[in-house]
Amino acid sequence: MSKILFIEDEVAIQKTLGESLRSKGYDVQAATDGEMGVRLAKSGKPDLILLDLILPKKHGLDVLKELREDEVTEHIPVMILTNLENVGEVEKAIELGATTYLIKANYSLNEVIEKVEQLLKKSS
Amino acid sequence: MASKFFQFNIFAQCKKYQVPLWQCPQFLFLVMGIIIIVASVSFYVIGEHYVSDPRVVALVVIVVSITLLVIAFTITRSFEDLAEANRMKAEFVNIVSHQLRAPLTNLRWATQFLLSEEFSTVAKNLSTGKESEYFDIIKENSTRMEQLIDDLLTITRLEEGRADSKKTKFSLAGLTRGVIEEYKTFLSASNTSIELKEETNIPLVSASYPLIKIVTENLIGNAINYSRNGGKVIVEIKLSFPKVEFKIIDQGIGIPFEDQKYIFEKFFRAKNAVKEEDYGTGLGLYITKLILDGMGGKIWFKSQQDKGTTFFFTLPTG
Repeated sequence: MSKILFIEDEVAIQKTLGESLRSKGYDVQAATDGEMGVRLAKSGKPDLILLDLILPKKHGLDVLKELREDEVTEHIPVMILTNLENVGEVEKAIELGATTYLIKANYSLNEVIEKVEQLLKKSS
Repeated sequence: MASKFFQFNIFAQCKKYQVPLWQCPQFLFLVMGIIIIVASVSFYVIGEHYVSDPRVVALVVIVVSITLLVIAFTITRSFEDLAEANRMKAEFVNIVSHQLRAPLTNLRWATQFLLSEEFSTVAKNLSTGKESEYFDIIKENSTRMEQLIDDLLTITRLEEGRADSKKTKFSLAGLTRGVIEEYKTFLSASNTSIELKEETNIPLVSASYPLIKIVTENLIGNAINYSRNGGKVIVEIKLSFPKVEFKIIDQGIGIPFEDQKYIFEKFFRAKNAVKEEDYGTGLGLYITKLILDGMGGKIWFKSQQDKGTTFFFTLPTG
């Protein structure tokens, strides 16, 4: 089953989305700050990374930049999952190589799970 | 037609940018244009009369060039200021949307999860009562939303002068001791210590007790929140004639220099504060300043990133 790395500091989001994906059989690994996220991405080589932007220790965009600069992680699809809707941030994330950018508040839990599954299907 | 006229109405445009005339690029360009025209005519006239003494002409040219240089520099600065104001506006919308959306998303997703088929699968593997974790998420995020609404209501009341601002005489040190007591659990959970140093015979202050309680709660709460684990917070209360001065020193994350001028603005949060603590509303210091301004007090601070922050405020004595 596909491996997902979920970089998110909000416990509520980690639990609800993380548990939903686990119950569907995905192997979900959780990172609660940016530095931990980069470390786990390099060591765990997940099939998909879900990345929040406002993170302790390292901002999500810096995490993305670092992932794209490392040959181990440069090809892993990254879904930005945030509540920030600044045009500049969206553009920067896409420019840095994010696969897609979702505003959490605009999606239900099921819709996000569907997007995750679609992305995994596409990349496999 | 009206909008075409608007383009030529420099005063209206400057008003739209909310900057004083001397900082408004359109107005400064107009001034520069007038100076160039006047200078050209003057050169002609001066040249006609004083052509025998080139020093006079050279002097006038130097003076005019310096004036134009100063105006050009001011124009560049005013463009930078406008760009900065625009950046701040975008940042403001960004933070507001994030702060309002985050607890709502958490509430929505937690409820959807509890009602989902996936939850019944998860629940089978959970020990009894484990679903309470998800009810805790709902409870915590409702409180967060409530706090945000409370803050916004306090601001509306303060801005409209409807807050409980009846002045009484009370001891600022006594109030502070009470607030520190309330924070006891939070202090031990964050491994932070706090010390209150008070001068003897400090006069009573004259202010609204409930509003000044909000002020001290905000400042003490911030000092603990942004202290690193094991940090120490010192509160000093002394007479700074004719007012009473409150000073709170922390050894926390500090406020980055470039963010310091915005720290009392509504919804503003310093970059390092957002990184450290995702939950803040960015309204506490705005409320604090609003209250103190209304009570005849004053607030200021000094801060150094990664070293700590000291906030001061004064209140009139009774």
